[in-house]
Amino acid sequence: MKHPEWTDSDLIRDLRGTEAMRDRAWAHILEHTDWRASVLKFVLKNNGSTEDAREVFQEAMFSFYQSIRSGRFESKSGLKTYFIAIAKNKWFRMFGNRVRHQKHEDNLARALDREAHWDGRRAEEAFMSEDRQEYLLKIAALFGERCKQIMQLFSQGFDMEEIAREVGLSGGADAAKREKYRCLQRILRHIADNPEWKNHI
Amino acid sequence: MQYYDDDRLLDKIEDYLRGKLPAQEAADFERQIAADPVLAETVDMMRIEQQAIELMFREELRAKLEALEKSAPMSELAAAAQHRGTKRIWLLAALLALLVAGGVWFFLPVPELPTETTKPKPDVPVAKTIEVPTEPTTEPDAPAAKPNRYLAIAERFYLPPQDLVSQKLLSEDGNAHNREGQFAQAVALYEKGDFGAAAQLFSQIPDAPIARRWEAHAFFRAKNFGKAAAIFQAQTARQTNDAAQDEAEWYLLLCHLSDYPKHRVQADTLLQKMTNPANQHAYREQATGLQARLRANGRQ
Repeated sequence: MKHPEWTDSDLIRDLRGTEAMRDRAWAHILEHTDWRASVLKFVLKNNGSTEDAREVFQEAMFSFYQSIRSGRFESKSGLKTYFIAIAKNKWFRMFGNRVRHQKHEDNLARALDREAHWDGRRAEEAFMSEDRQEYLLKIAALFGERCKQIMQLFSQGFDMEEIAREVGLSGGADAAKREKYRCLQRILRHIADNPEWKNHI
Repeated sequence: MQYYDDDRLLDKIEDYLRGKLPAQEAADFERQIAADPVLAETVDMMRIEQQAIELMFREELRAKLEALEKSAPMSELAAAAQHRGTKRIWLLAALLALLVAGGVWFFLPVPELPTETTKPKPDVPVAKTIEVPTEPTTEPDAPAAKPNRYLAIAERFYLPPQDLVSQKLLSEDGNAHNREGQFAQAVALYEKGDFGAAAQLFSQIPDAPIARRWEAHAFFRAKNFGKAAAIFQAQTARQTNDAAQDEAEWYLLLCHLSDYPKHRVQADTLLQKMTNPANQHAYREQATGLQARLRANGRQ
């Protein structure tokens, strides 16, 4: 059940706000809404597991946040409706093959073929993405704390004025912009100096 | 020569990668990229940079959500949902029983009129002879299934060796070949998905390394990780050849992962060995991916 003091506008305001406000919004969604329970119910109903639901919820939350930040959410529906639609979409994209597979178990031989194919593809994807993930996290770790903060805020759609405020740069938008270029150039130089990056394109 | 110092170009690349350029401008820019390898390289590098930033944020958000989730884990929600479901079933059962009781009462023969001396009690129990199940005050809670995320990871990373599904192996192993009937029967069970029965049958074929390999995978797929681990362990000790040993180590690692808290030391030792570039382990790529997944999992 939704916490009575929070409206959709409150939630959007906090999700678009400072880090403390965003943290408050996450806590509210997890502790005072039934969004997780709705995702869980949907996933379990579609032959998923609790662990699948957890994964779907997290992925959906990431996309949901990006939509709110970027202004893609146009308030044509309630926030919960919007979030659940994202989660359902995630479910079908992440686990759709399995769902389809389970619906056609009557033909054993074909089903076994599909299972082998699905297992293989999924494992292969996991290897590839994990390997790539490892590399990208290595790159991400090269950013200093301030650069990390600036680049993340920029990537989330914050403008330079907001970035300067949140990071505490006294020079305002101009200072934030200079700092951002400095961070970007540093990381590009590092990537260029380590040809390993070409394996991850 | 790169374009690091051209702030305006870096802005344009950023807008292009984020899909913010108008369609015509994006198409023009793509032509420019195609004609300029240095620009193309800069775009690729910035793509990596953006993906790294996005991944970092995703991981941080995941960690935040998981920390918050600790107060009410998804497994508890599942148990609560199950609890509500059970409660609803009990309520329905009770309601149904009441309806049945009511129906029986309705069709019972009208009792004889009471005599003066036997006054009816105002609250005559309608169904003295009918037992009405009542809703228990507290439903027995089904033990909430404790999620084993490590097992889920192990299963995700598990992929049977490609050659295992090839029937030609039947003729490659002399002992197995001699017992082709039994072997083929076990393989058929495996392929039908009856992994437990397949494992039992494979275990009855002695002195056949290929049968041990099948047996181990059948046990793994039957989720009997203890038995699968014992076989893979024996294969790692045999040290017949590097490839076979590397393969056995990888699957042994996945077996350990099924109960990671208990076998953490063995699993971590194997993982360390397999991810060390100096060892040139055949499953290094998979092990590195697995290690990253475990790290992400451990950040909660």
